[in-house]
Amino acid sequence: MQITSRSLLMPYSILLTALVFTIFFWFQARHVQAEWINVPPVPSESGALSFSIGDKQMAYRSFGLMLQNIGNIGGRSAALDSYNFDMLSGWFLLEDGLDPESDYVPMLAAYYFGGTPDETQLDPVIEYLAKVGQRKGKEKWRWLAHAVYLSRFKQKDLDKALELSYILAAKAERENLPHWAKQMPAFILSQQGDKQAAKDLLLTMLKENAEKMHPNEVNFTVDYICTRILDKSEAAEMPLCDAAK
Amino acid sequence: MLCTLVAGLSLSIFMGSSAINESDQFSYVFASSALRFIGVVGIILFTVFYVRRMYDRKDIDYMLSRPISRLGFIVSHTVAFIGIASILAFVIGGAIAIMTISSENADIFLWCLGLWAEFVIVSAAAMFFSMVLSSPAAGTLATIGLYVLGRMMGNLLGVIDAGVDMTGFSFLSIVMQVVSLIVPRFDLLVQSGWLVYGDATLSLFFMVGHSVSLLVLFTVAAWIDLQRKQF
Repeated sequence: MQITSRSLLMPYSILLTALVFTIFFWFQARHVQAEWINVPPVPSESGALSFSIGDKQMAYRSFGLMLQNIGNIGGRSAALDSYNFDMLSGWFLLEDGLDPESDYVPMLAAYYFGGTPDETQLDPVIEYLAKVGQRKGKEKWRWLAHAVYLSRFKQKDLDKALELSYILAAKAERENLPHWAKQMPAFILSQQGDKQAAKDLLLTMLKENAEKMHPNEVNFTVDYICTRILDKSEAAEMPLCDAAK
Repeated sequence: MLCTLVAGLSLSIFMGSSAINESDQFSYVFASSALRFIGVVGIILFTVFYVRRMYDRKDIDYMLSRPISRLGFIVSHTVAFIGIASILAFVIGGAIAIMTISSENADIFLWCLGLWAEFVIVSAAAMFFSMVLSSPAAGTLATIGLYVLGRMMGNLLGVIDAGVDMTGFSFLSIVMQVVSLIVPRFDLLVQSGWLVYGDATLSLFFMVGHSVSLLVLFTVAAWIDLQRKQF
């Protein structure tokens, strides 16, 4: 059969009609975007492993990257205080189960989600960081210190900060951590107004550990007692403060 | 195949670089997982379609009319597919080794060995399924299904051990455990965590023994199937 332009007329017409309809539906769908429904529900650990066909580390990294970018995909930028932090807490704990050694999710929780302007949302973050920070492991205690920081300076909940600082100080004593970690309860007691307890704590530390402390740490501790805990008249009567001068 | 590997590697490095910290670890994990999966799919597709083409073009009839035993035919093809799997494992292992060269923790040797074992088992399984099933699509899907089951088996056995409150659980758990007897434990052979933390606890004896036993199992099963066929 010879193919003529007349015999192609019908197929081309149908093609053109289909193209017109396709373009029509393109206009219908052009501005349809995925809706931000907030943080999705947390799967179980078995469910999470199914996504990566059994590879724990792949599941951890994939979900971690998802948490980092959630709310900021497809041209969208969601405000941190619009996130569901209770649901986020579930994700943090899931990730912790998949890989308790990595610092990626603690860093995300502390420095990204911890930056929310709504301090009432910080409870799950602080709880998670405190849990991770009590674990044995390289530098894990810094997350506990960050939990103290968030409680003290962002939530301004000094009771919670003091409770966490005692845990940090005990861990610092067991694991020979920097002295400022051991001194944390004193700083918070001082902030709470319990100057006597703060002073006693720091003086005990100086009496028992001064020879093990770096000279700068000793000087800092003495200065803190003399300028931040004691007022001028009290400092004048304290021999330690005279010696420091 | 090489282009797919390069694309997978590049995309993994790109995605890893977007993480706020531990970017290197992200790259290792994404690259190793992606390349491993691409390698497995490549081996399955090549093996299945090669074997089915042999049947369709009657090449197998011609070869068996020569003085070649059916066992010899199976063994020679198994060795050939192992060779291809080895080349692919060498290329992928080499790429991952170069990526992780600066990492102090990566247990790259054991990971590469596990990858090679996984590819060898998959190639043997692909050969078996392609000989048993007449359609290349069915052979491909069956092998991929076995692979996914092998990766998930550890998780499924854990669910069985933990117990689930559902009707028929006892029967299903028995069925699953019987099935798991002949399913490869790919979740144990290769773990992305070895590239990040090292501390691989898998014994070489288990890795080699498990791989060899499954290789023999699939090869002999393919031989039995070929013995029973009339040409």
